Amino acid sequence: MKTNILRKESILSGIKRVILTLLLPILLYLVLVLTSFEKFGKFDSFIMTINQSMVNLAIGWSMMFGISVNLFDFSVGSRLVLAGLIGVHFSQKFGLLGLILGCVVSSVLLGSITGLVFSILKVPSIITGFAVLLIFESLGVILSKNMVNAISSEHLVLAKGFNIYILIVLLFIFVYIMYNHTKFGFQIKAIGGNERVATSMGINTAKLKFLTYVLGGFLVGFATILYVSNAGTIQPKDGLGSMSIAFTPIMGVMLGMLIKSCNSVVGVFVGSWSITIIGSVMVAFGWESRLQNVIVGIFLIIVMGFQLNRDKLFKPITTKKNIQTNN
Amino acid sequence: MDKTPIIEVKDISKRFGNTQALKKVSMRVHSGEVMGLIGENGSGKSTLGSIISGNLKADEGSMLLHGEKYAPQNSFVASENGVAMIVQEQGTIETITVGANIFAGREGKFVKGGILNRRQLNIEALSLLEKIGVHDIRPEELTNNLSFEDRKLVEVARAFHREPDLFIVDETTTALPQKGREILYSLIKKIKEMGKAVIFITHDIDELIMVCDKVTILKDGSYVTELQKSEMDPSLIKSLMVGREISDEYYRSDSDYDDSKEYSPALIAKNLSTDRLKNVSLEIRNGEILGLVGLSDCGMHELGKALIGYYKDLKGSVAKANGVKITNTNVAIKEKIAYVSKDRDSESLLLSASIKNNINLPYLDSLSKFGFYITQSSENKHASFWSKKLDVKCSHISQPVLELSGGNKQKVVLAKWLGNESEIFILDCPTRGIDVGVKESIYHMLVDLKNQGKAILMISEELAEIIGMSDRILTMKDGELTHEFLRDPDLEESDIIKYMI
Amino acid sequence: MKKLISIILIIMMILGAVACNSTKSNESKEEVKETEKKTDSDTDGEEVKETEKKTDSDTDGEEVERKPFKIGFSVWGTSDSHGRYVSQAASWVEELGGEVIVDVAQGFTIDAQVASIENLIQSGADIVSFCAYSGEAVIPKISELAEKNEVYFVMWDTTVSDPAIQEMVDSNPYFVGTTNEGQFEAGYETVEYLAEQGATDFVIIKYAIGVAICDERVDGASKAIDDLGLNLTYVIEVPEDTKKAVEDTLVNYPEVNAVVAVGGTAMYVTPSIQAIESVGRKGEVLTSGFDFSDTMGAELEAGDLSLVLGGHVVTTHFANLMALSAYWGDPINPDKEQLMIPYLTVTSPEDIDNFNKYVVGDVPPYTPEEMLDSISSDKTFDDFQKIAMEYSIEDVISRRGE
Repeated sequence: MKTNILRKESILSGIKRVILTLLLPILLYLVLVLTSFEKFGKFDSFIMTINQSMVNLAIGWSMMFGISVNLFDFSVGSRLVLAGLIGVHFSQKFGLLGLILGCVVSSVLLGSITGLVFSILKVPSIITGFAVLLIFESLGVILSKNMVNAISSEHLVLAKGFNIYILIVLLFIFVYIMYNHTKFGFQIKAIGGNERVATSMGINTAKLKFLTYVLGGFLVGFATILYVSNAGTIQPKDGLGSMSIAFTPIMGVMLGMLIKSCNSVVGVFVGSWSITIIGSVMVAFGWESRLQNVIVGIFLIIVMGFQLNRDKLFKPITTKKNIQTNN
Repeated sequence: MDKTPIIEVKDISKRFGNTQALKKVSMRVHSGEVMGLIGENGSGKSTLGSIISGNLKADEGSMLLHGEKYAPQNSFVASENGVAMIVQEQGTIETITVGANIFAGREGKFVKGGILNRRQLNIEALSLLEKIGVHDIRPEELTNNLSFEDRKLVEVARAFHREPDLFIVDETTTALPQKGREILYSLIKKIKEMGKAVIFITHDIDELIMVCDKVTILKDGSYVTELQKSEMDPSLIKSLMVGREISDEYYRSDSDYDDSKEYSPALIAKNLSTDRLKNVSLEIRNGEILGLVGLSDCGMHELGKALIGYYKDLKGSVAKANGVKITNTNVAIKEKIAYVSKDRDSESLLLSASIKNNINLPYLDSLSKFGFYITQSSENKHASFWSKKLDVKCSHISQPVLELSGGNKQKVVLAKWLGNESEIFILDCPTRGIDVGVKESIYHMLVDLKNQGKAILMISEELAEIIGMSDRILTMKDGELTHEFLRDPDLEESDIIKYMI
Repeated sequence: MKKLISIILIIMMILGAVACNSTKSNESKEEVKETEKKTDSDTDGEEVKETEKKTDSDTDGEEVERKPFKIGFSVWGTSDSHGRYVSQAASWVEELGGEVIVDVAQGFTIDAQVASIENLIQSGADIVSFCAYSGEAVIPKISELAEKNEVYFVMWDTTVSDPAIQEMVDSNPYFVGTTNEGQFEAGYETVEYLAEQGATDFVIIKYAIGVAICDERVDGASKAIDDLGLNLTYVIEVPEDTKKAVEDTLVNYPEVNAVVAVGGTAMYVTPSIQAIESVGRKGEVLTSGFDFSDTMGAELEAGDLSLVLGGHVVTTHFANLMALSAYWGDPINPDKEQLMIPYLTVTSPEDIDNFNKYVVGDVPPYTPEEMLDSISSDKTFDDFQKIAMEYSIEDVISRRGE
């Protein structure tokens, strides 16, 4: 009886929701299939697009909590590179475990440092991000000077075969629970909605924002493992070069959060996947691959423009309805 | 009553900058009591509510809750102590669900082993909503999807969750439709029956008399008196609220409406409607000061903005006598309409910019040579002329406006518009927060402008000023114009209040 | 408050930049120390030889006064192995009685490069040595700077193709010349080698847009593909996610069996190898790269990588020697011709071991006597060019007598 207190979703509307959620990537993939059924009709090709989105997905999840509380931190890339370099270094000494712990522990530390700088200085997250980015990039360059950046191929197993799915599913469960089923997640969303009101409701905004950086760092650690294992290499970047690592995942997150038919955690997956497919479409059309960011940018503007102006777009229809009801 | 009161407020004072919001106000509320708090706008009633609920801190004075010292750091501490307040402006987070709103900051209750039980939270939220008599809001609904009234009820549910000992309701009823009001009234009754207390802040006298057992009346931040239920009489309360004396020399010397003069129309507004305004038509005339008076939320401030084309979704028309339609604020400036906002600091001035830049802003086109080049000297000339003319007290015209006092800031605003050769002045509370000396000079300036044949609309919450300065007075209530008075020495404040409340 | 914050931020940024710079100078200092140590511990016999040589050269050209020098060396970075190696090679000349200061330009832009050169001149450099990697357009500006400040400048890994710019630098008395590898030839050779291994359908990964070196290598590779009747299937330009780009390309063009990265072996070839494996084409698609990387040994050994061209670290060394000869008033290259530098081709792990040991090891591959001899007044530019072209791992080994 008690279950009836709360509204239950019917199976039909559940199916509708799933279709709505996956509509975008499926449509995009159909474009690929239309260009060449022979090449993209294969299940392997379909799976490949999912695999390709995994690294960006992990980075996206790590940024999602921050973005939820309006923290935009472009230092993610520099932290990933630095944590990756440290992880690779440790892998040479302690093997796979060295890689995992090296990446995760250093990333949590770097995230905490960034959060601390943010909390102490109380400057906007973007500025904090740039400041620490410059430092972390330099540190990465210094570090890589005195060490060999090579990771041996036996330590790349985490991104191979089924391992990547296991890792991603574990990450998904963790992120999903953190975002939807913990006090932390609830309060994060409250702050993101209206910080002033949230504070007056007794939510410790400053502490939670700091924790967001720490949690973000933890997740960046796993994203780093995937990043390194996937490409088989990690190269230090300087001159703000690390920033581009964050761009594609941010687009995935923004797109994901616009998808209202599903939970944001799933949304980020759908967003990242969609953007990955757009990249593949570029190549399939024989366009320059570097046009990808341009296309994704335009795509994002269209989607956001649609989202933000949806009310206006549908206004003529609703006012008509009002008139009818008035009569 | 010898019982310890639930809350006792002793000699509370509070200042905001130059304004003394509360002056040594004391009040006691006992268990089972509904205490009304009434007064004009600016009388300090909301400030007092905010201090008790921890949203503001008192400068002086003390409070006792259940006979114990009580000085909440913030509203959260207050609510932990059993004091909850629902305020007029919005206090819910739109992007999360109703349930999450009700239990925001108290989610810990539903956490087991680190995992938050969403279902349990929603079930409790639902039962809470049911308990306060709301049956059609679902806890899993996004708050964004609710109407403003329903969101208010979510706040009520949130405040009621802890079953507070003291429940402060600040002008919330104005935001609620009849259904919501009834829910709130029955809730107040319930709280009362449970032996708890309510402070009910309102300006609606009928509502006050219906709901409250006692009423404390405030005026200009000072305690006037406390009335028992039996003593409550609408006209008595009204006169206690606003009964203040007018000092004559302050305002215009002439006291009659000059009907020998031909007043030609300057700005004509027809059938203006927004969500706050209901079909308002009026005419501002050259050589005349038109007073517009009402309670703060009656829509008169919105009307001022509507006249300069501020609202995009405005229905109806505003046109100058020459036929030019005022469709946006740029057109208004071009057509020499000056607008002084009630919220001077954020809407009328660039605070961190210099006096010079502020004064020159609307006049830049006329200052520039060949249509684009502005010389330093022409800038300085214009700005210093007008700042001297209005006697702006400053070290230099490049001093940031930020550093000026309220009165001098207002002079800069006026200098800006006078310098722009404005013909129509829409002044929203031009003397708000300004000390007597500057006030007087502003009044003199208004008379000068009137004599020059300029058209002036003065929007004000101060009755004395309206009566003292206006040729014609329009009263406004709930977004509608209710009455028009002509200048008359016998006009009493109480005559006007009738049409305001 | 805002002021305070901005000051703190500025300090942080400066600290960041200083952190970068200080380590740079530390590094060069360390290198100096190391080289000093080496010469100290060298056998006595060699020292004797050195003094003999010194007296020789003293009598040979009495008018040549070898005054102490300061070479300002500007580089895009020292984190990649090529940047690291050329910076190392640049300091070989320090043994001739001078100092080499290394400045890392912040970014691949003309502005960044000009700023870097300005830094060096301000630090008192007598000679500036750089690669016009931000594009030819940077040269006129630097030429002007050099002339104004009376500082010699030499460009390595650079070819001037614009006649107007050529004319400008030629008329500048402080311009020394350029060194470069035959980029076109290197691109050509790469394809030839891969074709021998059976490659027919090529994908080229470009690491930069509008940069002459990169374009020349691509042109060379394209020409070879054309000449040999093979197919250039697709060109990937500066991918952000190389692995994905290569995967997508291999799915779209299943016929592809060679991936040529014309620069950045570590950045592009390693992810390409991962991509080839992930689409199940391991062993079927050949790869080749430019510039040495840390992982290429293992990759060559595993057969994932066919060849790498690089190791042209002497490009900066010979440029510096050329500039020194001009600074000392006896230019080895009075006509300001381009000095050609050979690439090393690496196709096996042993090649790499030898490179690490003999070229970029603890001891510079050229002794001070050899350096001085190569620019002595009795040598012509052709002799100098010959010495440069002789550069190979085997050459170093044989001169060491090992």
